[in-house]
Amino acid sequence: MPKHDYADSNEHRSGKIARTSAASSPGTTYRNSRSMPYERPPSRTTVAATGSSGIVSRDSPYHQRPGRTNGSGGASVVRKYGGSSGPGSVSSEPSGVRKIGGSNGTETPVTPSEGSGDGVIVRNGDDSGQQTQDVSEDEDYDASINATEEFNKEKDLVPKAAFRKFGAGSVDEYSKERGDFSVQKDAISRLFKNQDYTNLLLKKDHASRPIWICSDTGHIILEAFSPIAELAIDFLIAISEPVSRPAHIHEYKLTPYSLYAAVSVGLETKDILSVLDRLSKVPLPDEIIKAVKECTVSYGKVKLVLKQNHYYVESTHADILQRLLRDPTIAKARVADSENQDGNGQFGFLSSRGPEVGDLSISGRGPNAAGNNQNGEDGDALGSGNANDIDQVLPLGNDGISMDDIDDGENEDVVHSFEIDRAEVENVKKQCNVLDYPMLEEYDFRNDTRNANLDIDLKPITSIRPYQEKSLSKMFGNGRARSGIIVLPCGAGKTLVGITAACTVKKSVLCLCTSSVSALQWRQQFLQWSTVKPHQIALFTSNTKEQFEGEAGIVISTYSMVAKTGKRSYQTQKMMDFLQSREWGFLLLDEVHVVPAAMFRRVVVAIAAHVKLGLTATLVREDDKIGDLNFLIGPKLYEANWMDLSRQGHIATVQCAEVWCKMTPEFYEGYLEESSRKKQYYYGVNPNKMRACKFLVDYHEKRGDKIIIFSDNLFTLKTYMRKLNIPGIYGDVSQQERVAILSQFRRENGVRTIILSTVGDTSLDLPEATCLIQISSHYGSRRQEAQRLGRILRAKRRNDEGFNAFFYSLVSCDTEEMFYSSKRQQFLIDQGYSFKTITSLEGLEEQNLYPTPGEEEANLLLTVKTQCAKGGDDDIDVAGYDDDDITARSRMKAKRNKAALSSVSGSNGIAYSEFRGQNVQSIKQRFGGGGSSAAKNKERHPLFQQRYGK
Amino acid sequence: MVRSHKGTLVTCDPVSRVVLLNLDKKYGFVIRDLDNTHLFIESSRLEEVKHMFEKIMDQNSYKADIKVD
Repeated sequence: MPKHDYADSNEHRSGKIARTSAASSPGTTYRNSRSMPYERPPSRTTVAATGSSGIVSRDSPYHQRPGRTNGSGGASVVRKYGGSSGPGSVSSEPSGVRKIGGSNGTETPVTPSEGSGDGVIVRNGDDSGQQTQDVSEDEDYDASINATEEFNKEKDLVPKAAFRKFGAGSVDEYSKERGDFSVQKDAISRLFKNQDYTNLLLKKDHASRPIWICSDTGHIILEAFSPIAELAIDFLIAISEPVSRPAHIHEYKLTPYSLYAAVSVGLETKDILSVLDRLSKVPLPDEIIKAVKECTVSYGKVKLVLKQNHYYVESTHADILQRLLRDPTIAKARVADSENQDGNGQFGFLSSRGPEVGDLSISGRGPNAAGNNQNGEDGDALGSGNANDIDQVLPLGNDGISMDDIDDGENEDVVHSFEIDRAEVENVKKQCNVLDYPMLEEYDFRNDTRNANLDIDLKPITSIRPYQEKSLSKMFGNGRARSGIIVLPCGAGKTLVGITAACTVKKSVLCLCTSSVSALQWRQQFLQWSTVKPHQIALFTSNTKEQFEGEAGIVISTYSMVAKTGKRSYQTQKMMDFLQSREWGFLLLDEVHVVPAAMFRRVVVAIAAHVKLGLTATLVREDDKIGDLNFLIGPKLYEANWMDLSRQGHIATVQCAEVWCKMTPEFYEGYLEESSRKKQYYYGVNPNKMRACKFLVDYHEKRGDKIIIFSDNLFTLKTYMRKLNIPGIYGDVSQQERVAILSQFRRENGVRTIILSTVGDTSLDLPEATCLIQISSHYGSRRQEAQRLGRILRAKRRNDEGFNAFFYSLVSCDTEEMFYSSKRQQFLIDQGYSFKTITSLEGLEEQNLYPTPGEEEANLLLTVKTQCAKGGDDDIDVAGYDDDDITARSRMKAKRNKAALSSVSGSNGIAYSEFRGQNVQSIKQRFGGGGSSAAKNKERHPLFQQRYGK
Repeated sequence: MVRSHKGTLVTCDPVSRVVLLNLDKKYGFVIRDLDNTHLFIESSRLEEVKHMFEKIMDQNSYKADIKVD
């Protein structure tokens, strides 16, 4: 790595005008003496006075950090303002604390002397008795409260991590009644608004317990450095959703969906509550208890079952079904003839004996399938081990509930059900969520004799990694398969998880992916990892429409293929009929985050599948549709921790950096003048950025890295291709050329750098790449950033000693790019990555890199201006947009106008025809131009009007 | 006859200079554009210029507000 200057600041304010002393002589400039690490290092605008007046001055609000300390005794409550590190010392360690220095640590007690001047407020504890002291009414809780809270004054970027610290002998007392302490405020409470949790009660032995629970939001904060953190993480993953997972402090959130997921893996209300209570430093807040109860008690009572290609709502409690049917939506969805089949009961439910009950308890331990063996233990093994271990570590054992007894007690023999209309399934599911009876979808694949088995198994040489095993154990928790989503980082082997799941279910599989290229990849992977025969796999894409032989098989298709409406070719239609007519054992959805797009939702409903598994790396969308996945597919079953995987060497370690490139004056001028969309030409082709890019390319090529440059904007891409002489791939590049370029790139001594448009964002496997440079991007899309990062996570060389992959994001200063960039990084930061900010690349100036100031820059500017004048739509690479909103593509379609054939020849408008009488008027009016007598008509003097007739 | 202006030397980075020159097109306060980092402007207009510049800077600065929920 070249040596870089780092800036701590996250602010994008451009010019900063510092005050200079009024008496300064002309031309002398002073740096603001108060500039703090928060301020961006180069002070940019200084005003020197020739006159008498003190000039343009501003004190950035950002560098007025309170640096006061008021503690002298045992500091007990410490709140940290941004890191005390100056430029050049941003911690490279992954930390969720955004660019506020290396304040990861939690261990060192902050003494007042350390704190002073560092921007660390040390609030006093007991002995000097200032603010916090006056609370004590009762000395019941003598536990010391040592809350150190990361705090960032400006934004909510920082996980609201609260962590403990041991101040020697500090004691805070709080009142017994919980009601009391919420009122208590002190001098800096207001900074925390309603997130001041310093007053929470602590248990006596809180030090050995790892989590905090915020009562109002359901957030759980975990000390990842605690000795029992690993167990706690297992448990928390099961019951809540990870929000942010940097190195030392993790943040999780309890949501109804996550609790449903917990129930569906077999955890019960009382277990959840008891384990939570055991782990928590604070007594469980009543709100949390209530919320957990509410979410878990009703869940699992109603099931959606797919039997013989009909959907049934099933429950052991007839009264619940009756309650559901009172809802108009569900009543409407009910298929009428099910009533005819059955006469009993006021609603006429179908009743049958629950056939599976006996078999159920053997769960996944049965000597069933090789796939199952690899899946290892089933879900509750995880849970119970967890609880027991925690019991050992925390020898409180007040109630001693282990989770061994969580196996479900479905003892009712009779199962009631009614059939619902297939088209209404989605609505019914949604409505059931509204009614607080979310439906559980399970598929007892081993007892399904109606659907033919598929002879498929993992090859003996195939072994799955522990985390893959864990994720699958969530899916096949009790021996049945349940639908859901598994989130694994790019390159962590999502495909293998999908294949293993298919091998476990052993029924017909329909696999949907985003493009025909990845469809091919899936097919290849199936053949590689499993024993499936080539004739059992059928591809269904626009080019190939195959059918598998035999009763069961695998069909691999793309979303757009299946989702398209309107007229299809005969062959396609036949294939579609085939897909829709049969019952699928397993529906595998690759890159599942695309599904909420309106056109794809139909797919999920149209195809009758017993169990659905969604796979993705980035379960985020910029719209709010991600929640829809919960009822379209199922809850999130598992989410891997990126940092853990990278520590274990499953994915590469990546150094992320954001490089700030200053705009040149000429380009900035252009930037200011242009309208919003054309602005990106200017900040994309900014000469400084180009130089930085060239510099990084040179630097990494020398190190032997293979580099991918990403550009969203086609104009930018082409300019870089041409000017820097780098081969590139974008929508218009033909297939042969693409293959040629990629194979060149894969060769050891071939091309070292390629430039890709959005076509390269997803599912392009380039394990050779070890360095990414991003020069232009799709606004604030977090997913794109993560997907791009995913290109280097699977780097071949990742297991080499000390190997690092590099991810640079080049950003033009003072432009909107800065804003988008910080937004985009959020996802990766939540995964525990940290972005360094590089304000200047050392050694860049000495090298005379391409657009040298002067003529070359001017030429470049001219190119940009020409492009702006053209202003065409040709700057977005259409081909690449197949994930976020697929609708973007339809927007970009060719325009269709009604016109004659002659218009193609350019002779439009000079067709000859004769007009007579009144027609002339109307024609003239229509064409407006020719003489425009019609318009003039009205202006004629009244005397002449008569003559010309009206 | 010699006319004298009371002026103020503004030192700024190239980007801010462009912003100021852009403002100058409308309001005309620059006496002399010296070089890439220096402008000489009317002292009497200083407050006004400061104000306008502030405003533009504010428009150009973004606060990342990402919901944490």
